[in-house]
Amino acid sequence: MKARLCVLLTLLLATPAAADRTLDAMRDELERTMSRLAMPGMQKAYFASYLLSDSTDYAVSASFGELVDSGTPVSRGAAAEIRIGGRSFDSSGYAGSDFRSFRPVTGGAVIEDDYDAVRAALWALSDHAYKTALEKHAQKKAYSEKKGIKELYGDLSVEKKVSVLEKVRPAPEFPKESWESRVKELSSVFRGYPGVQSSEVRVECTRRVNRFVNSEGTRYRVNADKAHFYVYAEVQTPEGLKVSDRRELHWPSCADIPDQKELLAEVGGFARLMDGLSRSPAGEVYLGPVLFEGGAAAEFIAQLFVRGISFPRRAWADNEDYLKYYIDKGGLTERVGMRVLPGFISVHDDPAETAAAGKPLAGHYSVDSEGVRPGRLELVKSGRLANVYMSRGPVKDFSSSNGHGRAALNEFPSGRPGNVFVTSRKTAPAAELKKRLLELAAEQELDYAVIVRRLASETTLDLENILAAPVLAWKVYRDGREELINGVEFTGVTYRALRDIVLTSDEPYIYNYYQPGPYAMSRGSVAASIVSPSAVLVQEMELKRTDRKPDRAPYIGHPFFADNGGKK
Amino acid sequence: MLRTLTLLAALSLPVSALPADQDPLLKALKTELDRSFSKLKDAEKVPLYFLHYGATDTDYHQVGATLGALSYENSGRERRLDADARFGSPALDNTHELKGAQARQNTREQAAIDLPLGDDEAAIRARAWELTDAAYKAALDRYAKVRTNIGVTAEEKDKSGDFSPASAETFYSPVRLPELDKAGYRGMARRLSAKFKKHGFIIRSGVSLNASAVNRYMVNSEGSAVVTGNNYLYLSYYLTARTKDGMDLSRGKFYHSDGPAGIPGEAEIAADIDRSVSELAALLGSEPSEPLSVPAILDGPAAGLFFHEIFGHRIEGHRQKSESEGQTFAKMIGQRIMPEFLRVYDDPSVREVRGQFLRGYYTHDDEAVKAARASLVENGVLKGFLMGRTPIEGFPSSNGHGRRSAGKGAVARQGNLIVEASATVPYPELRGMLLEEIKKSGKPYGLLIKDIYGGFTITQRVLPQSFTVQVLLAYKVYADGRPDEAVRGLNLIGTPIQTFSRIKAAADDAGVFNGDCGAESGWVPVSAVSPSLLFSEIETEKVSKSNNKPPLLPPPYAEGQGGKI
Repeated sequence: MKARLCVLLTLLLATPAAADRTLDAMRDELERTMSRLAMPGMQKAYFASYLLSDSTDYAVSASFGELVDSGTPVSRGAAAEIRIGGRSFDSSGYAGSDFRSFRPVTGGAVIEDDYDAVRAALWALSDHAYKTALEKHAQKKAYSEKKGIKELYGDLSVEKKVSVLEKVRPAPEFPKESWESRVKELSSVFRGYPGVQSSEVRVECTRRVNRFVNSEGTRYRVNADKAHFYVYAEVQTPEGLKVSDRRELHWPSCADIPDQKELLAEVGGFARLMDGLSRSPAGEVYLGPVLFEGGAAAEFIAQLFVRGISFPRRAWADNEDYLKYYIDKGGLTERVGMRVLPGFISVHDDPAETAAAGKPLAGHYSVDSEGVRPGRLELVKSGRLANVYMSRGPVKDFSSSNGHGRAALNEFPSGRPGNVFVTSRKTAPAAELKKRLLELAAEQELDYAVIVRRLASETTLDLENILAAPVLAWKVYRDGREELINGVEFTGVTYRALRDIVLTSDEPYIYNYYQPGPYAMSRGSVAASIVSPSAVLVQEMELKRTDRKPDRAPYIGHPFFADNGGKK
Repeated sequence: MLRTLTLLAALSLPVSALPADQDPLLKALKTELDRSFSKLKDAEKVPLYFLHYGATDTDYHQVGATLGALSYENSGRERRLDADARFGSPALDNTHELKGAQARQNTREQAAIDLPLGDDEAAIRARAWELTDAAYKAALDRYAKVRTNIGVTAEEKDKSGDFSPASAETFYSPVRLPELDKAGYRGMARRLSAKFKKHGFIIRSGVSLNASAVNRYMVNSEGSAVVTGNNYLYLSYYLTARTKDGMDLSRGKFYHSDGPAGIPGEAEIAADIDRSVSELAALLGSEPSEPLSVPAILDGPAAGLFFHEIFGHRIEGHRQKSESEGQTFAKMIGQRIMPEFLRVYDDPSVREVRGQFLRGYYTHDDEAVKAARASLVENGVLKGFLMGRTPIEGFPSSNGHGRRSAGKGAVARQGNLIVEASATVPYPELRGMLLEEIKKSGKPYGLLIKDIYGGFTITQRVLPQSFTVQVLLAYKVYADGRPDEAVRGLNLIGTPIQTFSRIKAAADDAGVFNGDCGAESGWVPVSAVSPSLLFSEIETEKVSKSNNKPPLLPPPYAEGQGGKI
């Protein structure tokens, strides 16, 4: 309710702006770039855009009851895109042989709204971007001719001119001293958990305003505030294997950060589980049903499905063998019309939504990074893939954007999620799912089944490895008893696992996360949300022991616990 | 390869807020070090014979402006902890140099960790414990490698051991960041940076202020407990331009001090900016230099930096026995290496020279050894080396030059390198002597070198033992009385011994270079002091350049200036 009210207010306030000299500077320099930036005898740009991203990052972190960091850096990042050629074939999307430099032309800009200084920053970036684009265009043309590439779907789709000018929100309230004492208190929770060797708690509250103009007349000024809470812990298992995890919570604004009591419970729950891992037995090879619960259910969907239908278009490169190491491409993006999920599951994305089940959604946005408005997008209808995430880079199946061209400042926009809604017609209460899991295990004459409640980060994935290792997994014996295990990884996972979902829970789980981008050398991340069933039962998955080697246990005990006889 | 960057400056303002025994960080580090050492020294068959903690606590404020507007303003605090563990014995320990195929593992990189910023002892000790365990295991592993390597490689000539004895030091003098008029600096940075808008040929420019209070905490298993602080403050500006042939040119200046009082007033800086703008314009209009070998004067600060590069780095003690180093001066003790009228020493305990602030000042090095004067050259004869706690033949102890930045092991480094001349002439006379040298050499002109950028000096044996120093501002000086002409695009090159033999005279001035020096043990603040020097001959080469075209359009604020200089 509260979140809806906020949206309403934002819309009301999105009236024609008062003077915005920064936006004026962007517009004026863009005009000069389009009309006058030219190397003698060479083409002028046919398209250009500027993005300015203003951030104030309030951050406080603490470890074991004491501050480690407390700062409020203010920054303004700037990016200039210039395209040479035409919509059907231009200078974009060509990495050549240097993957490191395959990124937008970016730099810093003054943090004050000074017309001349902002224009000067954009002038310097434009000059560089224009010269780079001229070279890229010629190289890409030569590459295309050398390879005799016939399948060309165009480079820049035609989109409607858009103007979204939100009123700049006032800076959020972030009482630093109070947060310092809160974070200290939260981090001292670990003083109760001798199994944890290293830990840290961090709160970040970012005020962000993004401004964009392009040569087609589209412009936007949007508030993109965000807030994060991280808890990190590292433990060592009885065999010496080091296991670390970072619990992350994300919200679309600092006002959404829950009260201290709730955060204390979060930290406590996490610390207890990590501490438990330090005493847990190692897992074994396993082939059988797996129940993904809570965060892991959403992570399963995020890693296998959402990532699979993102980044449909991959850049060209001189050495194609290297592409797979440097530029990701969603493995499901060429399966439009095919079955990707069981028939009882449908999925859509709607960035216009701001909350679900009373919880704020981090994946909300009104206009994407390229200035295209998103709408409700049907992704999967009764198991069949209907759409993939599209930016303005056309692909075989889709010639225009669906408002999902998203990127951090240091990346080129590509098709990425907003708010993903997964709906299932075959559901059961949570207890029922666990029962069904055990039945499936019994049918296969297994002594136990496996429940996963936390997966490792999506950043650990690559083309071959499409599902991250479980961080928190339990053996569930026939009598329902659960035992936390460590040191297992999935093996042989294919997209088939999505179709092997046999049952889901009837409860929604709201998962706010940051999707890592497709470029290994300039990876950014964008805020997204998944609203999915809180548990997903998969018919069959395979687990193996990790190949990682253990470390020797510390030579001497942790000073706090050793001095206190291992007690609190 | 070593690199020195022209960077910052400052000195210390002791504010002993607490007696040493009440400093929570010192107390926590001592307690954890004592606990660790007593439990770890005999935890393995090989003894751990030395354990050291070094924490660097930095409190800073910085503000920068470009074209009249702030580009950043940040304040912050950080505390990094290093742990040095030594296995075996001072005669042979885990830091011993690896030879042969293993030599590439001779890095000084080591694990460091962020410490909590507050006073909580349990939190500080928890982090120290984590790092100690990692450092202990890494040292044990390396000790095993050292033992094997010694067995399979040729015998070493220098048998001086790996660690020299040092007395237990107790010292307590931390500093606090001085009160800063932040609003005043903001305004000054905006106004000064706006001056560059009048000149359309400048493509990048900026003004910045950086203040930091650096407190170094050191405790070791020999009983040392040292807390020593320095305040560093500098204001700087820079401006760059690009020639049509794709050469980037720059001017700039750093004003270093240990407090706000040492920074000149706005009017003085503004006048310096005007002069820098004229210099940049002159360079932009000048022709690129062809390779030369001509008589030259190196002005004071540039001569200081020149000595830092081509001499200072070669006189660092540990290099004299390293099998991978060129060892230019290792066997030259007692021999004449430069003209008789020159004396060179490094003395970190000197706070200023002729009223000029020295950024290389410190009371104790990073191995908790008291800073002392290292006599290097007397009457042109080589006398000694810069020593950390790595002994070399004939030099068994440290003279307080073991230095590092967080995350590196300490090696011998420079502090305040000072060149003095026993016979000097006033500067105008030195210029007269330059004209004589030019005439004598039969060359059309000589060089007056006003400003240089660090550049690099190669001390590793696999490469030629030469140096390259980039010239930022130099003039052609004609013997026939024509006015001096700016010249661009040249590096000074040569080999040290030959170059020293060409020093003919020194002026009665003392130019101070303040900056940060980077080498295998990280970045450390340094100073170099020298009179202006006359060389009978100095060789130059062409610089490498970006080959980028100048911007196609003038800066937006300069539309209408006609793009003229």
